[in-house]
Amino acid sequence: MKFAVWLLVVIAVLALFALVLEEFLPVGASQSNIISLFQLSDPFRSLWFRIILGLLTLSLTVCIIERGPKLIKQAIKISLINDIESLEKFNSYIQLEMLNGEKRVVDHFRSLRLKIRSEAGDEKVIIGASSGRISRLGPLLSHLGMLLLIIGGLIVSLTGQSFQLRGSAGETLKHPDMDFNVLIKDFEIIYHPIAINQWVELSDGRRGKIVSLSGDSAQVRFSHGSGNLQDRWTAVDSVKNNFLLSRNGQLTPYQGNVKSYVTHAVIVDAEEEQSQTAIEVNHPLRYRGYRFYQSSFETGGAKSIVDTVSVRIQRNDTDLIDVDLCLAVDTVSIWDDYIIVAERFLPDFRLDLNMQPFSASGDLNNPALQVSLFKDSHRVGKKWIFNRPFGHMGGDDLPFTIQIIKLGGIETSRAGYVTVLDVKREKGGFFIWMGILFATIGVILIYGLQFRQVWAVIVNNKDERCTIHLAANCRKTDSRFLDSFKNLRSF
Amino acid sequence: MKQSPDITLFYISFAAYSVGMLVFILYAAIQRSALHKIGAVIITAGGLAHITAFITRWILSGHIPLSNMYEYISLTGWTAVVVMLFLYFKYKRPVFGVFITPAVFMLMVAAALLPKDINQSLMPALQSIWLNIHVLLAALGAGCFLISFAAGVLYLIAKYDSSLMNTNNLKVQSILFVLLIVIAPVLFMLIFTIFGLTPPAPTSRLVLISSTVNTGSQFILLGLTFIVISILLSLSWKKFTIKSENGFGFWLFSSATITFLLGGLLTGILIRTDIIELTQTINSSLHGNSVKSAWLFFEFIGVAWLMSVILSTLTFPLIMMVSKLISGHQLLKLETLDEIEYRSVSMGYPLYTVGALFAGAIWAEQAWGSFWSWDPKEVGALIVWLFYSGYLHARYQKGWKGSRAAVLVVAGFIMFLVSFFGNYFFGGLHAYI
Repeated sequence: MKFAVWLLVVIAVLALFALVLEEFLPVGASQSNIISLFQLSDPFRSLWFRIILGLLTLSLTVCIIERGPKLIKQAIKISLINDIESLEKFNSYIQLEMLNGEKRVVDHFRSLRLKIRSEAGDEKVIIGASSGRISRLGPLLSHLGMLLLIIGGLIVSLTGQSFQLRGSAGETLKHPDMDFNVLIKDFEIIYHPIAINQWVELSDGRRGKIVSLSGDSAQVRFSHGSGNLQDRWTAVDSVKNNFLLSRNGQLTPYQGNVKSYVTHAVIVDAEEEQSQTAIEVNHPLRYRGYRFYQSSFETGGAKSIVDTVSVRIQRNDTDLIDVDLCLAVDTVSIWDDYIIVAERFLPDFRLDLNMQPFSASGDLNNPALQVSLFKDSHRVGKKWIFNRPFGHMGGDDLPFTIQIIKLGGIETSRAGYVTVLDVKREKGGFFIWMGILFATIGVILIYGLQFRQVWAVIVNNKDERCTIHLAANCRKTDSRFLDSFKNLRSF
Repeated sequence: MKQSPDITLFYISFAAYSVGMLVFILYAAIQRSALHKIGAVIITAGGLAHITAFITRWILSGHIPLSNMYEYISLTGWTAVVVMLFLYFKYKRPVFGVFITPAVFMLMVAAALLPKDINQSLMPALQSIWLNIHVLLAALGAGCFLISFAAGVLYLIAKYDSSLMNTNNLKVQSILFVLLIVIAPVLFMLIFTIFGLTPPAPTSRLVLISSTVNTGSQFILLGLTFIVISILLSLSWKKFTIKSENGFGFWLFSSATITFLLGGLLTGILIRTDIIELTQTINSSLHGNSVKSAWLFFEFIGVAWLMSVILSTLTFPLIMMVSKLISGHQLLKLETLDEIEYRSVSMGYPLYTVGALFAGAIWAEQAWGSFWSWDPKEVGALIVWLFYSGYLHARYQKGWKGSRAAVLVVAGFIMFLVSFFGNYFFGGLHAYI
């Protein structure tokens, strides 16, 4: 126990140290040997911090094994002490002599709302009384909960998978680890209705704050000239309220007064479309162990829609063929029973931090097409191709050189949004949920109920009086209970 | 513009707490029992106005009013008032009013200075039932911790024995103090140089004093000095008091702690209201963008230290007065203080555990995709939780009571304040609050 207390304090101090380090080590600062050796640039994932957490796990395990059975026993059954020497060791021990002692002791225990268990012998009666026994499970459950939380956290950190999907309306998003696709139907930003205290922009570009509303009109307050304030009434319909006011006084569009960011998506699994669902902040989509979170969005420029991609496939210096791949139909036979399939098109190809492709905008800045090559119904390979002959990006080796030569059916629409979804998947979540449940019940039992127990050994004397040996245990500070116990002297 | 009714009610409660505090302090000075009764009635009225303000704001905004620091601090203050009144009526000890009302008053000052616009347009991440559970329970837990802190400090002050303020002790303390002022900045500069940190150009300015003088480096040195002084004061406090169970170290420690907390609070308010500016960013030549200054934290501590010195002229006499009140009139048993300290933690701990940690983790999983991200606020909450866990284990299993337990709860609350205001200088996922 002493070890556990010190461990808690040590972890607290180390966590504080790690926090300060993580926050204030300058980004890109030259890393000294000390920083590298102790992994101080990422302290919470460093070996030394994990060792400390491992020690905590060990301590919790030992505590559960060591104390668990005793706690369960105390919760199930009222304990008895028949040994007077053991009672005498309690600070609260008292000894009384009286007539009809057993009945009076039992009555007093009942008045304290204690449950009683007794065993009668030839010369003495042993009584145990307690209340709130179920709370004895509290320490066990809370420690078990914390253990499960650490185990769950460890499993999550080891098995956790995280990547981002980006796409605009109409785009099908794929990832190598997912054997299903996500079709983005739409992305929308829903704003709160116009209300008092919101920052707004008027049709003439002036920006101010709404100070009152009356019917369809809003009173907007502007900063006028050298700090003077000016109010103006205007129609509610004519103001935009989608601005966020930063601390330096800048108003950023699309970020303020947002009620919700919603991606309407459909899971396409085994060629079948599942029902459409909305992915919102606080309302992730959960599907086959994957969780899709609305992370952010990007505002692209004009959004370009492409119908067909013409590609040039070259087998050797003289043998080449031009093929139009329609992105909707997308399967074309070429030489020697090879079939080429257009898998995915990105108008502005980029790689994110996880080396996953995404389109940085709706503009045709860096068009890329992911193609698959099949022969006899077996996939030969899959690769991203670009509008230059050796612009292949990773993927499998294909027997041909393929490049984009022309884009067809280009339509440019108004500015569109690119939704960004965080995708997570890990094992261990169950342990964390169970850990939270157990630990919550545990702390409620410990601090919501009070465990009190009293023991009495009543020895019958020859003169019809009896000697009563009493001891109480209320390990929390409860002076009233102990005072009540001492009141037995007044019998 | 017409003031929202909840704000009016808030100011009514603020006024009631202020008057109540003055009445309690007057009671401490002249010892008329009628005064503390009047004080309790005024504080009760203030508490009723305060909860009415909370409910009114809830109705007006359409969501639980716990979406910004004003609302959170306001509710924490109300919780502390409720627990204080509970203790006052249960234990019949007016000294709680004397000591807790100033803490509540400071919270109300902080709340009063923060922006109070009703936010009907709650941002998407905050539109969750877990906001109610997470923040409400955490605020209630914080209110309980505030009471335990007050009881802990009271305990330490109650141990103060003026007879030990002898010449020898004073000499040792003074020598230590002077040495620390000289050594501390050098020591810290050395440590941070080893870690490869270099101070940014001193761009901070304390507008309150001068809008032209650059004071960043000076604040850094003051801050570093304060940290080491605090640590060594604690050690010297231990030397003089743990063994002898009393001594003027208690007084020194309590005074330093309280004044620094108030100084930190005042600094936070002054920064928030843009009266004081600290070094916000430094330019990173590597990325061409701005990153947080490694020295911001120490600048904050430095300013807080300076504010503490100013505030000490007010708090020291108050602490001395309370000290005399307790030790001179034996109004409060040490055992009672110890029990209150423990009971407050016992109330606050489950609320904080379930609210700040577990409900927060579940909410984080729903909003951000992971239960735990080692975000500064999360780590801060974890540190606070570990500290109080250590306190409860030590008390329960090893029977730690008295001075040592009091020190732990005081330290725990300081940790809580660092976590509470941490997002102002640590940033992270909770930076929007």
